[in-house]
Amino acid sequence: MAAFAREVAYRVFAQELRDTTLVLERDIEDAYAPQYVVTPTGAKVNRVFIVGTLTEKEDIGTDAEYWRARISDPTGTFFVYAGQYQPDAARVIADAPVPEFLAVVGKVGVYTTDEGNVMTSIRPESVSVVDAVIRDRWVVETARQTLDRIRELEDGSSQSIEMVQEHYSLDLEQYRQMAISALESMR
Amino acid sequence: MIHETSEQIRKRFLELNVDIEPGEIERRLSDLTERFKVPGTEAERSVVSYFLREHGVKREDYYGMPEGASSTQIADINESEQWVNLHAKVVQLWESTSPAIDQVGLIGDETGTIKFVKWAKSNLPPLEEGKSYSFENMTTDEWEGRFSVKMNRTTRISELDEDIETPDREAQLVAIDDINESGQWVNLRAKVTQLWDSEHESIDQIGLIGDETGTIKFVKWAKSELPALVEGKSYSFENLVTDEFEERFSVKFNKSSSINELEEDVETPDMEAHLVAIDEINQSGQWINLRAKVVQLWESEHESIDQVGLVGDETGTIKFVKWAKSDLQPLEEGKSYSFENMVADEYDGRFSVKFSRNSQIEELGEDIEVGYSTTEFTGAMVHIQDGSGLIRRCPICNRALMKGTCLEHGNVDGIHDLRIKAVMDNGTTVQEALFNREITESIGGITLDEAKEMAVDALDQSVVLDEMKKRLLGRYYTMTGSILDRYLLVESVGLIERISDHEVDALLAEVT
Repeated sequence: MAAFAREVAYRVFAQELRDTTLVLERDIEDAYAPQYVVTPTGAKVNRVFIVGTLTEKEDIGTDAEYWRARISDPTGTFFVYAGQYQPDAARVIADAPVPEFLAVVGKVGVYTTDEGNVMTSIRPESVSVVDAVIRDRWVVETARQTLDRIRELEDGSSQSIEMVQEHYSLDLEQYRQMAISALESMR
Repeated sequence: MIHETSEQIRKRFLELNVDIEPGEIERRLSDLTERFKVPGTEAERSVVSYFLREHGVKREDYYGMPEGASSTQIADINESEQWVNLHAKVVQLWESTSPAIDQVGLIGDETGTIKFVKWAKSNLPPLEEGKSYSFENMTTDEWEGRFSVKMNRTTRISELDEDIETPDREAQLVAIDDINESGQWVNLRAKVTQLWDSEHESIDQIGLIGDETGTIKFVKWAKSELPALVEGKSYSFENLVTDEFEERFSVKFNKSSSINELEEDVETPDMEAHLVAIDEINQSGQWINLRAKVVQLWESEHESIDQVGLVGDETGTIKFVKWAKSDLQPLEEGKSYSFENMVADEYDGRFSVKFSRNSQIEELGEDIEVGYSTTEFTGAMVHIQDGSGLIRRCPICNRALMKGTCLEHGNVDGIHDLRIKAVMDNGTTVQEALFNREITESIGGITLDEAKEMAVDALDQSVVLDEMKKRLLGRYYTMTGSILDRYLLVESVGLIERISDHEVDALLAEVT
């Protein structure tokens, strides 16, 4: 069961994904070992599910199409990159108007810049055009799950507590405020 | 707000000799912020990008070049992505395990303290706690009004001879009931009323301490290297930091905390558990007694957990966790017990009960009848598996054909059917779900006959699956059904409803 268990698609706000700088070492023995990042509230993430507004898109490919999309939530912006290996997702982005509500299931990609900054993006498995009802549901669900992760760190039940404590400052208040502002933006 | 932003965009484009109709800018801005709920800055960027492209203007020309760093004081830092110079003292160094971060901590000057991050690739000299430095060319960053500074490759650091004074933080002796703010430094005189079992090695001890006015949760990190607390003993605690979640406060020990045992006994208020029915459990931290049957024992995933599983009574079932350290008798599946002094806990809206060292277990002579219900799952459809959409089944055994062949009966003339094998995901669990033809037709909006027509027109039956994906993926559904192996056999399903203001308010009320 464990060997083939599918990775959960975490609900993480753009701000938290942007702040994510902890990249776990991949198991080099296992070519299929998933890449994980640990977010500041302790989510150990390989896959995410996000819903937001497409605010900008650009084909930055040279030979083949390679789409970069900015998808905005109440806290910041996700970067989604889709090219020839994600043909269905690339097609949806290419055809979508700006602005439009999009739902994305995808894997978190990371790279480190020359300055040492860790940058995160999303490599989509699927992109769907959705509506405001789904977007609103996602914001509330993501706020709730972010607050739950914060609580688990605080009561010591989070599996990631040690990594979060050592790598991030455990300044959880800012993420609580992030979730609260996201909820307040719904009213 | 939209009007001002629109004016600024218009002015900037005018400077670049592009005249844009103000109404057009405002219309795009308000569409983004109101209908699509995009934050103001991102909406502005989106609109600017649109006009840059429309008029063939380069991004650099519009935004201009960055300005030089300016000398400042920490209290004056009020904007992100600024270049700043500071004279400051390293107040605290925190631990960094990321290879990307060389050092992280707090620096302070006369006006306050601020978090700093020093990147590994910046090749800067190591900073020492307590020393004062001149920092040049740092960039500021911000989240929710909290600022930090980042030291990168262009930053210059030189040690100062002078010692920069930083504001003090002084802990006050308070009563537990007076704790009403997080981040406060406090001293307490309190008794350890309960020690819980730590679920994690980074936590040395966790539990409750109490004084005459109430009790509060505490967390003592393994790294703080403080003496062990003993249940029932009273102590004087100095330099603890308060924290808060869902209007419940806790205190945390840190490296500067101190613990001294008191001779006197600090009195604490009582807590009493009450007998409840499982469906009445609705508050975490609640002390309860149950009369229930052990319905299932699961495999424990952690050595600190002795037994884990489900207990049930007439009103429903609930997960239980029994710690190895609590030294309680083993529970047997199918037997009914009276449980006393358990604590309720909640995760993602689901409650569980935990045994503590104070819990008591007594087997009952009677058999408790357990109330079951069909399983319900709410989540987003994140994937549709192969073998979904328009398929063909073997006329003899009803198995789905693989490339026109039945694994059992070989080449057969298959019968068309519609089904979806979906992966549903609620952010914490994944549930595979099987939708039969009737359910597939209703949520996909395509009947079997229409699906066959689509496949004939396209000369390809995968068009049906493509259309289903387009209509269903990324949407939330609530479904009920029974579980068979990996799959939830869906008996009824509906699109999730619009979020109500009430739901948002309730969640906000929990945390603010």
